[in-house]
Amino acid sequence: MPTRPLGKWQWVISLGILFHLVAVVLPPLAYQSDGPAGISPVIQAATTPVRPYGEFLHLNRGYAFFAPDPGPSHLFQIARLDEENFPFEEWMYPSLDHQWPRLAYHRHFMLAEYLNRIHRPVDLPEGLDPSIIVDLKAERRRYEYVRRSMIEKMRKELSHDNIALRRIEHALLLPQDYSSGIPINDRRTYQVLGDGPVFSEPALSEEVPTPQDAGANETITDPKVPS
Amino acid sequence: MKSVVGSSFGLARQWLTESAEAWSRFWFTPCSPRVISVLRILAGAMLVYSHLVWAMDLGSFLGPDAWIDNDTAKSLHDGSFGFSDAARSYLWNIDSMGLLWAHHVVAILIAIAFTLGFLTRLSGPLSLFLQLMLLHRLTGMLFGLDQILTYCLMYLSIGPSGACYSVDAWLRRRLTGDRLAWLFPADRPSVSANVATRLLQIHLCVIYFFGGIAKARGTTWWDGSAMWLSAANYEYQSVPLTWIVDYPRLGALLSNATMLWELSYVALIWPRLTRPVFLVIAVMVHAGIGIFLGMITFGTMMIIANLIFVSPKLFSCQSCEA
Repeated sequence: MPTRPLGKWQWVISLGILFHLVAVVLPPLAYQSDGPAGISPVIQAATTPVRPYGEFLHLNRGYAFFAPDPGPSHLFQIARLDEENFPFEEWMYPSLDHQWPRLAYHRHFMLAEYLNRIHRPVDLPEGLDPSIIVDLKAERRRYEYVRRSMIEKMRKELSHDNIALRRIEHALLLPQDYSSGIPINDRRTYQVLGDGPVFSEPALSEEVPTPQDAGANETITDPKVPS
Repeated sequence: MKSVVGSSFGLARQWLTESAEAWSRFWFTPCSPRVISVLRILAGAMLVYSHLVWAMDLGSFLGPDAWIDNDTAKSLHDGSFGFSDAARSYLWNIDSMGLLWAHHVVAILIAIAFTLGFLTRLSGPLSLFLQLMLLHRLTGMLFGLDQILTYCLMYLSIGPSGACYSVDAWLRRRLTGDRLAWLFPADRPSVSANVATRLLQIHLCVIYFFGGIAKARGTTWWDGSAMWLSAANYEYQSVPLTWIVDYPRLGALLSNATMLWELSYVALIWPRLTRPVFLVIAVMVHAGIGIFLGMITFGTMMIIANLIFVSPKLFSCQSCEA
């Protein structure tokens, strides 16, 4: 098919298309090139000019669905505590019994996964590079702010000050365990994830009951909402 | 020596000329707007549904008492925790639930207008902008549905997606004719329809390719146990798939095939011979995700996006041509 040479506007549009395609391809490439030493310097340098554009248009994604391997899911549990910090009412998020339709359930599921993904331990290993320590402390503060925001929401919603939040990991069964008769939602597959004390930053100075106070080291008794 | 250099220049020039011609053919050959018009209805309906689900518990997602409150949401993007990005949203600054409700109702109405194809040239970009503002505010609660839905809105806003099956087409026939042709585009092949189509096609290829690469870095998509691990996930499960434990070869086949299909989609979705096969597999994979893994919206939206590879000839529009 004979084609006319590109006109002036077609050149302009072509440059725009190329810019956009670079912004589409580089974020997942950067995601894949991220290793212990950080993102490949070449890809990082190439990404810089298109980064704001990609961030604004939500193009900065990795597309790693169920990858590299399907892993355990993460939930969170909200507990109302009595004066002795003993939980007397608990809710698990997400919950198909309480979030409907399925998309609303999935939004809460993603929130639980996000809280787990941004979690950083309060106690950092010794010998880390100072710049890494600064980054990890900033990321820990991010986790604390998100966690605190979630607790504050429940405090207001329940009109109850003594609220605990703990992260839960739901492990996946091996085929032989399932074949032996263990259901995939067996209570033993839910484990409370530990957490250290919160930072004593001014904005976070108000005491929040830690999961340890609420018996965080025990396996929870029932993954379902009790009432 | 001179002849060698001369012939090398000649070959390079010929290669450049042919490449420019191929580029021009790929991007600037006018294409029918019918496929993107169908996508507008389907993606628009999904956007309306997504907005309605946010609205069922709006205070838990937006405002000062949300799971992630306004100040925290802003801090996640403005550098407070050491990393700043351009994913800004004015919704961080709105504490009034009344105003947030008004904003959300407007977003729903504009999404409905886009779905119906009413003033699509305006309702499309506006729907995209409002969706982006929501996404930047709702960090932490998003997943693949939001990505593919937003990309579809983006590309449908570029092309004349209101040219067919739309209120705009009706208005054009009854009132405006060829006047206001940009606002009420005709159902005829256009370069912008082709650019929108090509961009979404390529973006889908990128999504699948890197989805496949990410899976290929693991072990379970190779050894065949990934399907069991997906089926054994109680939180994702909708229709039980755990029976697959009794059919390990089927589980392995599905695991391997999913990864290889994702990796090769970028190449084999283009040839006419393999395209139908790859589209059928896409429907099967995403229907499976929707039915068994509880993500019916995401699965449906991915199937909708794959329609971009369907020929416009499949869609007739007699009323548009009248």
